[in-house]
Amino acid sequence: MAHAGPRPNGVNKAPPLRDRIVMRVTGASLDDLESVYRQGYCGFLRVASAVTGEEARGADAVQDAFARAIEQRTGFRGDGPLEAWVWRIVVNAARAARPRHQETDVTAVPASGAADDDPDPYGVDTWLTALPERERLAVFLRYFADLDYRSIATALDVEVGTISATLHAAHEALRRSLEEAQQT
Amino acid sequence: MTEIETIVRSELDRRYPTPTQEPDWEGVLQRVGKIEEPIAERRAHLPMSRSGRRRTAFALAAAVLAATAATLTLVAPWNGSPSFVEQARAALGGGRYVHAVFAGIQHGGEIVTLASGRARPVTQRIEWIYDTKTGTIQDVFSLSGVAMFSEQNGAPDPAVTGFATGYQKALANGTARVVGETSVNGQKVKIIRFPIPLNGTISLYEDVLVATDSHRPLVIRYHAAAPVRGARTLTYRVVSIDSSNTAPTLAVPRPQPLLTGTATDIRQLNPNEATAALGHTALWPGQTVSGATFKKLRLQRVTTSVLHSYPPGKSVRGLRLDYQTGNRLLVIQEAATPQYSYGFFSAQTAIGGPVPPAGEALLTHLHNGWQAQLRKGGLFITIRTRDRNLAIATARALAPTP
Repeated sequence: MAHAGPRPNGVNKAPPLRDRIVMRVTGASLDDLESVYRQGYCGFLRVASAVTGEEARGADAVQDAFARAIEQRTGFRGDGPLEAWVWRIVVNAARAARPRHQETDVTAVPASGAADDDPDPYGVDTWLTALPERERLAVFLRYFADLDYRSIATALDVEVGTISATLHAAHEALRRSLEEAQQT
Repeated sequence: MTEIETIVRSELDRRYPTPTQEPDWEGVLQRVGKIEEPIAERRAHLPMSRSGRRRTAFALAAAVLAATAATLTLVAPWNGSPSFVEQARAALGGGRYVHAVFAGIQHGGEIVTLASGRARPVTQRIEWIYDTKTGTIQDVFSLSGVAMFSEQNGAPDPAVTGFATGYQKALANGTARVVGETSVNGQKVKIIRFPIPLNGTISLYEDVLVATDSHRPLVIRYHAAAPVRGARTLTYRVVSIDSSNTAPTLAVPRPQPLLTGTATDIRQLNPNEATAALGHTALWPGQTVSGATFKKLRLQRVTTSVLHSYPPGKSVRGLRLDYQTGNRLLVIQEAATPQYSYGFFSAQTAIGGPVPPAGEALLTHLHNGWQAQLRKGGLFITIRTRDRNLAIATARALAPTP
């Protein structure tokens, strides 16, 4: 389990990468993109792997996406975090890289790898499977990439209020299924 | 982070383990200019990317409406007879920065004074500044008077976000409508309703209860258009709302690292060995507490680390005590430092809110029962059980082990 606990005083004095990068006006330098790539690689790969259904395919999509971002870097207008702009490219690359049979079932949920007696004690698999594609992508971006709502909205090209409402609705659905499971 | 978010994160971590691939920037550079024409991007844009076009159309429409409204205002404001919605819009003021404070109650959270058993709710306070020009929001979320985090770095409340980003716009573009009247603390209000954009089967709405005399919002609430079983209506009192052309300052807490934690059994103990094994005076509620009987005590190795960081945090010793009442468990976990796997995020924060001072317990209603968290005798203690009264009785009965 993980939680956003408070940051101890005196730790990480430098401004967050996102804040530093958002200061740029137009275009993105190679250094910026490399910095986003290296610092966020694990998150990019987890989301891409979840979308494509396997890690190797996800890794390929991330490489393609960053190559594409380098080619298009002068098109970054600086009206939002560079990271969010890159995320949009990564999400699109991952969606394009998924196997053909998965195209109508993007971000398919794999069987649980846990060795518990109950592989899905909270019904999270069922919940994820039932979510519409965009909501599932928003969940992945929120939990794998730890993106804030504004960055998720940019990555998925929707309003931030929509992301807030989308994730709230998704959480409510899970909460109801938990309560139902508890009552039965 | 809510309990639901904690469950989702934990389960997703289990299903999608941290990848093993290493970053390969050189490999990226080698692909530049060699990727085939982006079939991917032609075919793979999300269905909702159409929203960009919708937004453009909406922006144009809004601009026309705004221009029309501005012209009307200059020539003859409200044509001599302003509607309630127009007056509500005027009451917000015309400043670029909207500064608002909301107050509410944390669902399922209480702080209990152990001596008296008296409980009070965990209160929420959300303060935000909305820049109407850029659409950016700064906010601070506090629980029981303690600033916890900026929700823009966490999970913005949909009621507040919907209000921040939608109310002024809805008042201006005609989607806000008066749908009824009621009263708030004896004050007459009209209910202004506007929709929250959501591509789904559920229609979501924001209601703003606006004073009929001052036209200022007093309460906001966020809900589905039709009743949804189990769904809560989020309600906040509007403490204050003002606008100005000077950017107000807000002390936004720094973003917080994500934590992870483990608790591993070392060995089983007798209660009289607990203090020596823990290296600190251990606490327990005795052989029995309110009908629950002591079953076993385990010494554990407990670790709290920053997620995805290396090396992991230093491990410490903790205790887990199991009691049984009927076929249900009462579990007590304690350590000399706040431990993530015992439900603490720091010495100040735990699941459900801030850790109260000694003599009080933070009581949180989880999906599988109740959790009491407290500080006593230099220990950070978590009690989990299905019975609220048993959780409180256990917290009150804690005393040094023999």
